[in-house]
Amino acid sequence: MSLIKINKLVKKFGKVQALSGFDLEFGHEKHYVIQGASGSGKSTLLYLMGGLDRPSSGSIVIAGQDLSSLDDEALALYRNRFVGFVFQFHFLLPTMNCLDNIFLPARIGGVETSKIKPQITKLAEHLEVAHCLLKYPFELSGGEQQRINIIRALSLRPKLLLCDEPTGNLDSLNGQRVTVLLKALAKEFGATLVVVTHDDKVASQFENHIIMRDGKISP
Amino acid sequence: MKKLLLIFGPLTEIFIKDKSSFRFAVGIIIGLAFSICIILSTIGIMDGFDFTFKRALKKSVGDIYIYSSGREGFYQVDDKMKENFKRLGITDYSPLVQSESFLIANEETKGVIIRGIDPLTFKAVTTLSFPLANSDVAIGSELASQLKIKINDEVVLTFVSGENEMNGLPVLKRFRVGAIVKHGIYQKDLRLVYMERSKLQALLGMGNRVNIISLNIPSQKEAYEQINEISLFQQKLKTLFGFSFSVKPFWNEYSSLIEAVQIEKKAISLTLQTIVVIAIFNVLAFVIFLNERHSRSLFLFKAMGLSQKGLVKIWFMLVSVIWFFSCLLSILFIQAVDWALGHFSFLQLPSDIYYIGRLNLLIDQKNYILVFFITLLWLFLISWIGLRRMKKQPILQGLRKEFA
Repeated sequence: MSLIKINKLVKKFGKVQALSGFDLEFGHEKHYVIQGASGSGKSTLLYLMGGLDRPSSGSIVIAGQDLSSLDDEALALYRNRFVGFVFQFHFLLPTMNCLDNIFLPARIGGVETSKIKPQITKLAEHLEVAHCLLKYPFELSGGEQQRINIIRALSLRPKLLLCDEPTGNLDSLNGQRVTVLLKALAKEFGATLVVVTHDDKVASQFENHIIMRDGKISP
Repeated sequence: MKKLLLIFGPLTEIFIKDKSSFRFAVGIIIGLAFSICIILSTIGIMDGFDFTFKRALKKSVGDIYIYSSGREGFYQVDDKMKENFKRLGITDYSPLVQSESFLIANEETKGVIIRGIDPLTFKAVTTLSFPLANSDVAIGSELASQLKIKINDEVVLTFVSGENEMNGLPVLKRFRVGAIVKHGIYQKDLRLVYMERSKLQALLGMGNRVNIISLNIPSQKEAYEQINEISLFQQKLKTLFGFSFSVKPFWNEYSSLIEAVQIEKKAISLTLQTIVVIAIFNVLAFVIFLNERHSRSLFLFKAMGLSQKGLVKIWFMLVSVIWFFSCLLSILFIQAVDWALGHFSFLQLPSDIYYIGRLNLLIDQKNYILVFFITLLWLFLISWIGLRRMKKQPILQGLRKEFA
C-alpha cells in the first residue's frame, strides 16, 4: 500500500517547467533515493511532497489526503507533524543551544517540550551527541551538527522523512555514517525515507531508486 | 529585559537574542518613545496651561460674577437676589465693590484695581485667605515685587470721590500693607489691591451698595471640569436677574486666549503626528532589517510548520513588544519633562506674556490612550507592509534563495 500517490504532477516557475507531469508512488516505511542532474527537478519534487509549495497542476495524495485541498494552516500542521526535513545546510540557529534548536518544531507546533525531551535525550545518546545538547552549534563539528539536525527532524516522530543532500556537506566517511543512520532511524520510527542526492555512493545504499531528468521520471 | 521579552512569545527570543537586532530594537524603542513623549508633552503643556490658568482665574472671581449693566453700576444685595441664590442652591456668594485707583509707593505709581471685600465670604468663594484689618490693604505679589513693597510698609491709594473743596481732585489715603496675595496670574498679581468692603464703600460714598457679586455654583468638581455646569448656571442666573445685570463665567476675561490655546492644541497635535511618522519609518527600517537578517530562520520555521497565521502572530507580537516598551519609556520621558519644566528657569514662561509663570503637564488618560492607540495603528500598518513583502515569496523559493 502506498503512503504517497503522485498524479500528473506539474510545477512551473514562471515560464520554466520544473516538473512536467508524471505519476509516482511511495510505499509505507520504504526508503527511496532520488537522483538526477542539477535542475532535473528532484528537490522541487521533494519540497512539493513536503508541502513547502503547491503544484501548478496534478496532485500529491498523502495517506489519502490531497495536499492541494489543505489550506495554509492545515498544510503548516502537515509539515510540522507529518514531515521531517533534513537539509544539506543544517541551519541550526546560532543564538540557541542545540537542545533549543531541536525543540523548535515542538515550539512551533505548540507541543510541550517536556513530553519529547526523554526521546530526544535517548536519540542523542544513540547518535553519540548527548554531550552536545547544551552546546552552541559553533562548538560542534560538521558531523555533529548534521546529527543534531537529524534529531530535530525526527523530534516529533514524523511519518515522512525528506532529506535534501543530507551528506552534501560532509566527508565520505561521515556521509556514509549519516546515510546508515537515517535508514536505521527511519526504520525505528516507522517513517518513509526519501533522500535526494547526486552522490552515487550514498545512492547505492538504497533499494528504491528514482532517476529524474528534465522534470520527468527516467525509466 | 530580555527575559521579560520572552513573555510575549517563545519565538520572539530568536529575534531578540541576536545582539544587533536587539540593539536596533532598543534604538527604535527610544526613538518611538521620544516621539510619543513630544506629542503627549505638548498636549500636556496646553492642557496644563488651560487648567492652571482657569484655576488661577477662579481664584480671583469664583465661578461666576454678576455686575449691573445699568448706568450707575452699583446696587443693593436685596432679599430678592438672596432668594434667587437660594433657589439655585448657591450658598457661597460674596458681594464686593470694585473700583480703579492708583497706588503710590517708593516714589512710583501703578494703576490698580481696588476691591472691597468681606474676607469671610470672599474666602468661601475664591479660597483666598489673608488678614485684613480695618486700615490695612492686601496687595498682589507682583505689585509688591515691582514696587518693592513689604508687609507693614505704607502705601498711598487715590480715590475719585469726595474732595469737592479741591475741585474734584482725588483723595489720597495712606494704608498699611497687611498681606501680600498670590493669585497665580500675572495681571491679577500686578493689579489687584484688597481692602475691607465697608471701608471702601465709605471712601467711595456708596453706602452699602456693591457693584459685583462673586459666587460659586454648588459643585464638587474642579473648575477645569465644570465648564458645562457653570455655563448652565450662567443661563439660569441670566434668566433670574434679567437684562439689567450681566452674568459672566470666571474665564470670560481671557476667553479668547483659552479658546486660542484649545485650537492651538488640536493644530499642534496633528502637526506632531509627523514626528510619529518619522519614528515609524525607523520601525519600517527595523522590519526590513529583521526580514533580511532572519529570513533564513523565518523560511526554516515555515518549513518546520509555521503557518502564515503563526508568522503574523510572531510579527505582531514583536511589534507589540516594541510598542509596549515605547509607551512605557515615553511615560518616563514625560515625567522627566515635567520635572525639567519645574526645575529649570530657562523653561519657565515670561509671565507678562503668558499670564502664568510655570508650566504644568496635565495629560489625562484619554490623551494617553489616544496617542498610544494611534501609534499602535501606525505600527501595525507598517508591519503589515513588511509581512506582505514576505508573503510574496513562497517557502520553496525562499529556502532556495537562502540555502543556495
